[in-house]
Amino acid sequence: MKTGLVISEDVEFRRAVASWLKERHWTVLEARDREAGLKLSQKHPPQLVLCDLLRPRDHGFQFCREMLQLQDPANPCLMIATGDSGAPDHFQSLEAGADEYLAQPLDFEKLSAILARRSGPPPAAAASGPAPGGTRLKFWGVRGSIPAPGAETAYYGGNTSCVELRVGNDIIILDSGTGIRPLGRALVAEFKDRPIHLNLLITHTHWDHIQGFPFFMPAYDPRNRITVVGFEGARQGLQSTLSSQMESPYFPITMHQMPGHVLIEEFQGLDFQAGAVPVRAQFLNHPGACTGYRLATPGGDISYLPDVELCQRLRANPDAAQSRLDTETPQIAGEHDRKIIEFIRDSEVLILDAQFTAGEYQEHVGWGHSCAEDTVAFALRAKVKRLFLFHHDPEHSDEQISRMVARGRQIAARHNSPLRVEAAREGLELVLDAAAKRL
Amino acid sequence: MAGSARAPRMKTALLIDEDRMVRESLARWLRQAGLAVIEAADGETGRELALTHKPDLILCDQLAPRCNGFQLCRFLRAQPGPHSRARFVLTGSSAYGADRQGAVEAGADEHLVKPISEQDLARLLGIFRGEGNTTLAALPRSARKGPGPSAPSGGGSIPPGPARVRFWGVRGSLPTPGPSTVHYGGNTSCVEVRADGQLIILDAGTGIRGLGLSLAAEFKGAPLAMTLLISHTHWDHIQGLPFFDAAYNPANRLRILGYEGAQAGLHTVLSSQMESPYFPVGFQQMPGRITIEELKDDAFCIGPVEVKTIFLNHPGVCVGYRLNTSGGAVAYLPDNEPYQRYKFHTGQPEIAGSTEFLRYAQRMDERLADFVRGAEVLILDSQYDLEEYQSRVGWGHGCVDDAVALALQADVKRLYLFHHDPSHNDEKITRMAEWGRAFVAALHESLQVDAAREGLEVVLPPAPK
Repeated sequence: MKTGLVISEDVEFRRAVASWLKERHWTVLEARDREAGLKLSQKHPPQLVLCDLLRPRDHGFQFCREMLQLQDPANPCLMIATGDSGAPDHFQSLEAGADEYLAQPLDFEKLSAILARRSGPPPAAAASGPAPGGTRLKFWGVRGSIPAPGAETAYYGGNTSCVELRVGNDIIILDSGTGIRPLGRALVAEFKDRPIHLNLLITHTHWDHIQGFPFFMPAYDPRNRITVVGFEGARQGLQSTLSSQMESPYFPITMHQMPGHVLIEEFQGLDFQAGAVPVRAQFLNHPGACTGYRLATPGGDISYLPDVELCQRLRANPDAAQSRLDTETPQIAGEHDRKIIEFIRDSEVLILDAQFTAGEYQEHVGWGHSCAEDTVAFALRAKVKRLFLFHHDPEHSDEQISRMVARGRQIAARHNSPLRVEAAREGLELVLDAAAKRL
Repeated sequence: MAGSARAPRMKTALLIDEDRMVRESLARWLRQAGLAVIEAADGETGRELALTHKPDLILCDQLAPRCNGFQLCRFLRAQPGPHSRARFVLTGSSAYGADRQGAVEAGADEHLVKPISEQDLARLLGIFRGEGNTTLAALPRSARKGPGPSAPSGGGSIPPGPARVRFWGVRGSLPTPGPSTVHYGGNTSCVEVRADGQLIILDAGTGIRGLGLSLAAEFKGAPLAMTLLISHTHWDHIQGLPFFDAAYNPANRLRILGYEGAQAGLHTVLSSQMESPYFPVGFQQMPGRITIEELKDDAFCIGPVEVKTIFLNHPGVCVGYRLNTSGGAVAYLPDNEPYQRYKFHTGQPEIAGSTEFLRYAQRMDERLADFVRGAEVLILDSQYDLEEYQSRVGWGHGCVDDAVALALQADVKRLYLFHHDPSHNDEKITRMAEWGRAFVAALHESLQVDAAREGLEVVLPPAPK
């Protein structure tokens, strides 16, 4: 017998949902607030929670977070938040751990569709509480091309690429777009007087992946050691490309004048170590020399491919076939894509370029970026656990991005896949521990 | 270049500086030291004198009008014969590290900060007479197209109406997205001015992306003629250009005007940001008709709009613009560190308080006040509050107190605090604007003080009949 828990101050609402569930053979528990709901769920662990955010607003989000912490990862429950149709509640409830969001008044057909979809494979286990010495990942910049400040991007964030990874004592930073500025401030606040040693992995030297470095506070402290790792570019070495952005026409302080120890290492081979973490690199289809990285952490493998245009889509486009890739045969394109799938296979977390929608892609063939539909398809084929859409287009509003996530989830559901699709969002932190990985 | 065992005797010195008082005192001391002195008030005249008189020593202001000191030094170092060996001293108003570096790279022997004392000069002459040659080899000079026209005019396709100013990017240093900057905005410098049929854009920070999208929506692909004035080439003033939609429309004409920088020409600097390590589309590949013209004159016209320029106190070559429109003057000084405060904080203790030292700074600030005098709208660097400034002396930015003081001194009507610091949230900027208004109220003045905000449009009064 499946147990469902309905939490709402509104007795009418509770009754309506309860009778609908009972008709579908659920045992239904009702609670009027968060505390009662938590008590009930500890006594009778539910398989479904439907939580109304409308009235005790903040407590609803709080409840979702607490449920996430409490629940048994082996027996996860589906959390559906309901609230008004405004975007902030929608985004925030997903962030707080809800699996789905429904606007009020409740559309029972939608609820029915969600239950049908979710009753197949169990939802992927959510991250549990922080594990000491575990693996943590935090997004500091998720935008592609150019920083996009403004009210319309405030939710997912407008800073360009930067992801922080903590594995034990290792600090690994992926790219240094403008998101590295707030990361630097956070590191300085955290370490205070202790020296900071870290590895910065650069995928390529387009502006949106390096422009934040001159504003990275730890690089201005002589006690700190920053090892910048990347590959030689198509035109010149990493050292000269990175230091050129700090020459006097563009910036008043040269890289040489930064007081921190900044070491730049260019790799020849595709396998190396960042601290204790084994890393594998893969060259990607993007203008210039661009790499993706796969990092093997105790919390599972994390693959980061911020800029890539998947080849078969490019090949399939008639315009591209005539101009850009006229020598490339479909077999080669297929081979390239297969290599990428092998590279990301079974990753716990995949952070992948999803700059466009399939419709927009038609106008941006050969720009070196993918559409979200392909991104999800690749994650499905590679049996990835969690996919984060990344490198959001500067013209995409929060609303558009969340629609792309919804579309991605639809695709995953249609394939009956447990793949969890999310959009990377500034400030979002994942805790990956070894236990969660085995589920 | 190897130093000769015996230093050559120095006979002739060439002084290049717009400031007559600077030239007078230096000339006196040089004559006392036994040199013949020739003088020029601008870099172009200086260059002619250098070629005809072949001086042994050249002292040139790094921001000399018509041909800046960096430019002149590079030019002379690239000449065959004695020009490449003359002692070249660049003089500047501030001790910015980047300027010293720029001087070295341009091939100068020394960089001195004004006001130059008699002792400084004597010590330098001693070094030049006694010790080995310190001249660095001349750097290769990149090929440059002919000088740009001095009075550009853009064809206008802007609907008639009162002159207006619209802010598209107001942030300094680095774009700053996020919920805490949503009100004032996180995009870097870009201001649109429409006046007298002209579309003039001030700087191309990330704000220019939004402007481009808005122009496309407004004009729906109809051809547009625009003039983009660049104050200087630090990232936050040029980084949006590759994303300026209007530059990708082949029907559009975009004229970019600015000054040659300390290190390289404007064309080189702007197109380098679109080279393949950094950006996938080359500058030459942009389909719009784009011309880049390096300015020499400090006054020119864009159609009927008269434009004046002034060099600002900021690392490298940085200018402010004044647009005299029929609706009044719009002055744009996005990056500037007021001289008096800077001098007071950075001078050596024994002379910082000296009258001569502060008088010089005072004169420099008065020049700036004259430049913005009576402006309807003044857009001015006020990155810090007074307390923050104390730990950022010499960074090339001003504080809100000095911005208000300058606006009051110059009888400006409306002051817009600009170039907001990336670490300032909306609340902080609001407090800074309130602080400025309280300052004005305490003096019973009528100056209007606001913080520049993305999307804010200022309509200038209609032209007087």
